[in-house]
Amino acid sequence: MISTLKGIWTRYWGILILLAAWQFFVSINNINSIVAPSPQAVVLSLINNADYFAGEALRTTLTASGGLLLGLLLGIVIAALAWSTPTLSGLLMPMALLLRSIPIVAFVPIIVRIAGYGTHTVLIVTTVLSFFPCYVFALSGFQEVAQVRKDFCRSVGCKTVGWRFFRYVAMPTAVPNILTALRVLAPTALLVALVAEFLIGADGLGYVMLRARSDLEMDKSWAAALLASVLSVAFFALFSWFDKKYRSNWQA
Amino acid sequence: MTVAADLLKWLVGISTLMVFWEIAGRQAWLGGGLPPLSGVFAYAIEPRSTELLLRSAGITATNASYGFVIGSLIGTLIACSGQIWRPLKQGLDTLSTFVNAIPLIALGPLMIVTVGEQFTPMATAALAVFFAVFVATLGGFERVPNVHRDVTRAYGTAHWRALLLVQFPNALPSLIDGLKLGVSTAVLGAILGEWFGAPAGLGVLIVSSMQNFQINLLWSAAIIGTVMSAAAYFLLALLQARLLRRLGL
Repeated sequence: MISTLKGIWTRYWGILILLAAWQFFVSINNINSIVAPSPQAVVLSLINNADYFAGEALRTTLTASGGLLLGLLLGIVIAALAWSTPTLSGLLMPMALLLRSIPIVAFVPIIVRIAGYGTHTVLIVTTVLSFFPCYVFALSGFQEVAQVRKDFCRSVGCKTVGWRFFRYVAMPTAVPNILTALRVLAPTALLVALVAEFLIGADGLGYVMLRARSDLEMDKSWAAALLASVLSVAFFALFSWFDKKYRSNWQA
Repeated sequence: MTVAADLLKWLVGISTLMVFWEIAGRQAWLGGGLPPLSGVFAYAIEPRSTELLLRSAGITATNASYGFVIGSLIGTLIACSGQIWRPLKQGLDTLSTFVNAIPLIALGPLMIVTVGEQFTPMATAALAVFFAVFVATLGGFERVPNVHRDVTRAYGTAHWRALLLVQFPNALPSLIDGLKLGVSTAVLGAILGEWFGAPAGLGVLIVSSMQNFQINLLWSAAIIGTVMSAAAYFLLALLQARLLRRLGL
């Protein structure tokens, strides 16, 4: 019992102190709940509106996952095309590098202007966000095929270009890379979906935050933020677990 | 020769993109949301809009730079303190991961209460940078060869001395990688922070031009933000190359 407590303390002391400081700060300064709610008010709001929050969280999670998946598929397909035609990869690489340093928030409003206000726009935003990293990681995975494997293929009379080589050699080589991309992207996709919902007013946790704040229900707004943070950590943990599992199953 | 080839690829790649954009804009493939590139450019070089854009970009750049410096310092310090006093490390890792997971837009209002509207962009930029630098520095510490660590331990070197003489130099390349990644997030964080009632900056410009359908202004501001973050990235990449060569790594 004591050792479990100690374990929890070593791992979570930072968060516990943060929570304590927050509670202390709110009660000592007697801050109005409209400005900053206390942690217990936030947790209570989360519990009291559990159904509502679960629904909105599910919505945001689904949109973010959908965008992530679409971006991933698009990234892999285009990377495969670029892999088979070097000219295309030459053309796309500078763009991919340039677009990697794009501040995505600067482009959310543009995508909104083009696609309109609605959940589909949130989907487009997360797709666009996910596409480039997936493309870059997948392409470098396809190109990383070890020389030994290429030599082997040649010696058994299989070409090192074309579908068969791609399906049986290049594609499996790229899987760990793609998993890394997913692991890095998953929490970001969720947070960007949130930003988009917030800006557009599309249903989901981002909108809950926006509306609760304009109604001065700060406990609700912070509860949504807390939920989003937990979800984003969970996303990261899930994909890290998946990554680890894959590696332990398939790699020596 | 390869440099020239790379440059050519870049030129061709970017001009293709620009030509494609111009056609898409003229044909209005995406409706009014995507104006032709030449239109955006013509708008941006009008003296009045140039002045507005440059002024906003300057403010955002200042916010991002302060945020970058503060965030990098905090990230490095936190990573280092976990090395000096081991028991702190695990809790610091969890705390940092969690703080990083809190959506910046949720922190916006909190920042306004604590640091004020004017300093919110700096604070969000710093928060965005801190995690990238923290993770990179930690990764660097993990790459310190065990032999080095054993030597310091065998000689009973104080933790902070070992950190200064052995661990930190070893972590430097990774730390710089983190800075490189962090600099784009700093611009992003600053723009996001400006959404929350900051008096001026690219973020303010972007949101207000979206709401008022000033499409050319919107594109100009977004492009300037991108160029800024790309330029900062390349500057750091250049610095990194020089520094690593200098250190013989």
